Order: sequence, then C-alpha cells, then structure tokens
Amino acid sequence: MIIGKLKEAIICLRAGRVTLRYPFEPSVVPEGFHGQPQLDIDKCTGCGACSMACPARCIEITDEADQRTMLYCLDRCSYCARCQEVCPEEAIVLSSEFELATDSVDDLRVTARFDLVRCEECGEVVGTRREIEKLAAEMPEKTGISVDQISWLQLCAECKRKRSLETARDLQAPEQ
Amino acid sequence: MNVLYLDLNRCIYCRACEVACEREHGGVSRIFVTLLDWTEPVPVACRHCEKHPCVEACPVDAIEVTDEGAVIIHTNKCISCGLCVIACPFGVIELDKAGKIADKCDLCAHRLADGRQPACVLTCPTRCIQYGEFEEIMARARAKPGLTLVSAVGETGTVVTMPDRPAGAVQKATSGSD
Repeated sequence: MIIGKLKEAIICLRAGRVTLRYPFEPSVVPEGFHGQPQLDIDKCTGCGACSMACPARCIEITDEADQRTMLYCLDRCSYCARCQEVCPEEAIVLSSEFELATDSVDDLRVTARFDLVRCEECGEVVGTRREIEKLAAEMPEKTGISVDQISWLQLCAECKRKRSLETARDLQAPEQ
Repeated sequence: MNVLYLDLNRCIYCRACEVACEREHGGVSRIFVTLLDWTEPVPVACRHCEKHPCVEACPVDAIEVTDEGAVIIHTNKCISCGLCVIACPFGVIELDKAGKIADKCDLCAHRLADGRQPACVLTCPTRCIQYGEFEEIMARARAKPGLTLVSAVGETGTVVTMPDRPAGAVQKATSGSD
C-alpha cells in the first residue's frame, strides 16, 4: 500500500506544474477570444445597427433634441460578438480584455454622443450628422449624381415622398 | 426591361393598392398613396432606379438588382443601419416597426416568378398603376395628355404621367390648413 502511494507521488512529481501562475503573470488568451467590446468612437457613425443586433440589449439609443446618446451597458454583455459582425464601420471590436472585476458599475458603461439631423420640413429624426456626411461624400462617386442634386438627405421618408412629387409637379407647371 | 407606370390622371384615392400590398406582404404596405397639395392623390412606391443610391449606400450588400431590373432587399442580410432609408431620394424605404428591418417594394417578385402581375397593378380599379416593357410603356404614356417623366435616378425606372392640370390651377394649401 505504501509502495502504491509512493508510485503515485513519483508520477505527480514527474508531471511538474500543470497550472498557470496566472495572477502573477499575464494569461494569454487564444486568437478570436470574445472579450470586452471596445468602441472606436472615431469610426462609429451612430447608425444603431449594433443596438438592433444585441440580444442582451446592452446598447441603448436615446434621441433628444439634436443629440443621439448611445449607452453601452457592458455589464450586461454576453460576449456574443453580434455587434462586431453587424457594424458597417468596424467600429466595435471584441478585445482580449477579460479582467473586468470592478467596484463601480460605471466602469463598464460607455456613453457616445452624436449630432442628430432632423427633417428640414417636419423635424422627424433623419439620422446622425456623420451618417449623412458619409452618404453625401460617397454618393456622387458611386451613382454619378452631382453634389448639388443631392438635396434629399436632410429629409425624412414622408417628406421625401412629398418633395419628389412637388419637384415633378413644378416641372409641369412652373411657379408664376 | 419591365417597369411600373403610374398614370396620375386616373388615381381616385381609393387606396386599394395599399390594401393589396399589405395583403401580399404580411400586413405592411410598401406603396404609399400620398396627397400632393391636399388635392392630388399620388401612389408612391419604389422607383427601381437605374442608378440606385440605396444599393450603393448598403454596407452589407443586402440590396440587389435583379435581372428584371427590380431593386430588392434581402431582409435576412439587413443589419438595420438605416443608411438606405436616408439614401433613397423618394422616401419609399422604411424600417418596419417590429423587427426594424428595412423593407420596400420588390415588384412582387414571388408573383412575377409565377407569371402573375404585381398585386397593386391587378387591384387598381382605374388601371392607374400598370406594369410592362419600358419602351411600350413610354410609347403609351407619351400618347396621353400631361407631362410624362421617368421619376427615378437614371434613364429607366418608374414612368409617371403627372396630372393634366393647366398651370396655376392647383391651389397650394396654406401652412395653416392642417
């Protein structure tokens, strides 16, 4: 029996240390690890696609006056990376950060603010200024429409329907 | 290439096309009968533009131009960013209230595949909305009174004959009338 225990001890000693010295040296995460989402505020246009995709509803969007506030409640995040998949600007990326223990929940909350553009006619929210500037910059090159023709970007859907008809009507019966 | 044709002299504001579209597309109409100056009813649906700002705006290529010239949204690819809604010059793309997915007229692709006409075309009691070959439609439209124009971005797309009213006959509603 004692010989059996000795054999066990020898086997254990031969294997050496099998665990990481983690708190004392950094733990390297594998590639593609889903850690804390990190927002690149310079790339983000505030379109809200991530907010729609997030199954845990971590990303709250509130439109007030001329400002859109996006609140990232990362304490609720389930690290599914849906936001990273849908983001058209690649502005939100799941980092390798996983040591998220904190005394204050505010450390896990990120707020981003964007200028809103409201419809020229009715005041309905059209989109953020960044979205509209991006479209205005890309549109002439991609569709061949000249810059001064693109007047509809500042209008909501309903006012665009009316404006396009009025334009056609005015072609027929010019103002007198 | 087949296009939609709207003869606005004929629209009587019955909104049967909206009901037909709702029936065909699960309760949400993608054609909007809009009142111009509170007097002229105009059905507005996707123009299926030749140069399509919505397709260019979509960051995930969810909007596609089919061989028939129809511009359709693949809703399963949509990430609901809303860029196409801003980019559309005619305001016919809207995010739906429930799923927040962009959707618009697809010229009833499922009906065309069966060799049937789009639902609004079949339903319109005054034949205000028609569907056919572009050249044939243009020839038919030019023979009618009123201004005929291709109301789309590019050379082809939806053909519209504007209401035939003498200049100045349409009274503009004042801003206080609503």
